[in-house]
Amino acid sequence: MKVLLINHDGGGFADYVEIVDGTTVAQLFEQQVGSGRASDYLIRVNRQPCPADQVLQEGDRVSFTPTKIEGALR
Amino acid sequence: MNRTDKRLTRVAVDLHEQLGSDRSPPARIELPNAAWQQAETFLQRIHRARKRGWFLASQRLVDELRCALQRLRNELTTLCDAIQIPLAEAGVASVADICADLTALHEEFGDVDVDLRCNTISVTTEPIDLEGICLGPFEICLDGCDLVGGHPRNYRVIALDPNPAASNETVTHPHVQDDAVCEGEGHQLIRNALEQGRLLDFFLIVSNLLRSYNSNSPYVSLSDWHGVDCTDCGTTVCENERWACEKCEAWVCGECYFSCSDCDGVYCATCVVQCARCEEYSCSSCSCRCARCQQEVCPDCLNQNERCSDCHDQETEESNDPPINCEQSSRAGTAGASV
Repeated sequence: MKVLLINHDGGGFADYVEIVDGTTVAQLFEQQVGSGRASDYLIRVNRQPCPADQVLQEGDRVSFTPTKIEGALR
Repeated sequence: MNRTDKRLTRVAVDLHEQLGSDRSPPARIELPNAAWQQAETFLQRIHRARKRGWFLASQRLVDELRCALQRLRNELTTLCDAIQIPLAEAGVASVADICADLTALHEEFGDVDVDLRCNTISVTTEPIDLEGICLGPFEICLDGCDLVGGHPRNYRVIALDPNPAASNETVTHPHVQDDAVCEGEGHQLIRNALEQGRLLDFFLIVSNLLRSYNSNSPYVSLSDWHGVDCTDCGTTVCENERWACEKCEAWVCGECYFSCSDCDGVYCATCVVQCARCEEYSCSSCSCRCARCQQEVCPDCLNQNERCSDCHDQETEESNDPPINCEQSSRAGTAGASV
């Protein structure tokens, strides 16, 4: 099944990704962000806060937004 | 559908239409063939020069090849960045997505204002506290007139209870000046969110940026937010109005710093010595002590024999004068003869 993933850690592109049935939010986070700590991200499913063990459904909109985004003079 | 829902839908339809009209065919992608060709030419010349034993020429060509490769790399990087943007344009938020984002904004921020007349959407953050400095809440106000082309001037970050830097009142946050954010690593994220009409993501990214501090590149660093007290007079001074003593590293203001007359270094009052002769100031490394009177003087007032100007004059005078005893005896002799 497919979910819409917006990974702001990877450039912020919205993209549909294929996942196996029964994948939880924590598992998708680990697959996509790897070494990052979940506590350093705002994780939303369908724009709502969610528990780590929430099982994703077909067409869900998942976003990982870093809580620390450094501004800088360009 | 209640009145609020109608308003949100109207905003969502407007924004969606705008995003749709902003779609333009992607620019033609061209590989950096010219830069590649140039690198190849240099490489051929290097082979030829080495074959003929022109080592100096080949070395110079290697330098030119390095420059050409750097140029090629830069062009490839630019191309990579450029083709990412059309890819991001693939998904544009639907009216339903924008409506859902606007509804979710209320849950994330609580204080949300959609102004149909001014075509703006605003949210208010909680009071931002960075490293113990309270900067107050900020209003993030997005102008919906030009979501894509207007970036980064199409949104403002307004301090509602400002606590600006002591040195610059227009800096209300280490990364905000004149209500504009220096986006740093958030630049591409914000741009992508606006291009795709993901309003919730836009506001979350900007608010997270406001909650973060990059000590490497602020308008005014947090350590200098309230300025620093001058070590000598105690006045609060900001970054561009203070000097660090080159010896003890204490901060001093423009009224209290001393410049060494010899090395031109900047020092605080306790790290300089006033010359006993000319009254100029010099640092402890440059000041000297007169070997005769032991007073501290500047290098200009000390002669080659390590005497200050006064002692030098005195010594010269003494050496030119005849010994007092001889003079007295000669005077006595003269007096006796006359008698």
